[in-house]
Amino acid sequence: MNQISSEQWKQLGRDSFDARLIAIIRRNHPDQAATMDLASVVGAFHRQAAKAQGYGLTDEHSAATYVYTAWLMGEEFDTRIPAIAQILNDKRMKTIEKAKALANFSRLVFRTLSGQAARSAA
Amino acid sequence: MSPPAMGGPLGDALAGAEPAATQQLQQLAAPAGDAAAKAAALQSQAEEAAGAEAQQAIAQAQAQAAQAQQQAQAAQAAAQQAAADAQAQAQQAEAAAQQAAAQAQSDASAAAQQAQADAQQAAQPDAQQAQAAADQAAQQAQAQAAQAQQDLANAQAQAAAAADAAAGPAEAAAANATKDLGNEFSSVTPTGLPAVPCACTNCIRQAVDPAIPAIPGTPALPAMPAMPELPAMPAMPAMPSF
Repeated sequence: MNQISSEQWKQLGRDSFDARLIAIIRRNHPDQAATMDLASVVGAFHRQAAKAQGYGLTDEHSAATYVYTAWLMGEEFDTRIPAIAQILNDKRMKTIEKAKALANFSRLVFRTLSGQAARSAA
Repeated sequence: MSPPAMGGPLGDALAGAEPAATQQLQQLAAPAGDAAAKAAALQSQAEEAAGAEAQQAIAQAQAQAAQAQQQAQAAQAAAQQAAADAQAQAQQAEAAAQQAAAQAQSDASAAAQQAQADAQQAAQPDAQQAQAAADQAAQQAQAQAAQAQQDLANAQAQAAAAADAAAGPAEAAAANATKDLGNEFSSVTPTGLPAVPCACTNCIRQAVDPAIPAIPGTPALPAMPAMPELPAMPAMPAMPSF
């Protein structure tokens, strides 16, 4: 009987994670995805997934949210943005709260940059 | 030159941002008293933003619905007017026919009877034509009213979609992607497991190994007790010889 080694099993997991995330990016950001260099993006995903683990984002939804946020904001977003660094480094916050904060932050940033926040306030 | 692997959407959004956005971004990126307070502030701002978008979508839908309603009323009024006009024309033709018939009856000769027949024959097409025009006008009015109703439904559907569109394409994309992440990724499965389990029994056993907690933060399950040894199968009786 064929057996799957531990490394092969991990590789299956990584591939599945990457494939689902890339599908979501392609679906929602078709223009940016069209110019994406897949090999370098996947490499960056793995680095970011490892960082997510370091912040305690060990379940796949939280890790995917972290990696997606990095894709939106840039590789060093976790240290470059003080509010995000504060949230990620907090040991008392639950994983789900951190992931929610990342999603809220991304949305508010793009809202602000689209000028919508200023128009709503007016 | 290929775009950076990560951070492209932010770079694109920054390129088209208004200068006034810088101060708001700084406030957004600034830490608070503690992480929980900052997370709560982000949550509150996100909810406020969603509420503002919903209000905007509702106002837009109401305006479009009012416009569609106005168009429907105008179409209805035009249809009623057309029907009334057609009815008046039909009555007028009928009256002319009766008048011609009365005139013809006043003559007591066969020629008069002939004239009566001629007058009735002449008036009949006019009345039928007027009736047909009235029917057509009524049908057109119904079609216009139906179109106005369809416009109203379209306006409501567009308004529902307008909440995301009004927020800007990048924000809408990020919001949709966040929903997709919630649908595609489990919050209880540890990172690194394939979405579809492998048919190999070894790796499944490894994934549910009680020594490894399946959900982060939950204690490891106690080890499974060893299975009791099965009793030896009795020897098969010898087959009878024939």
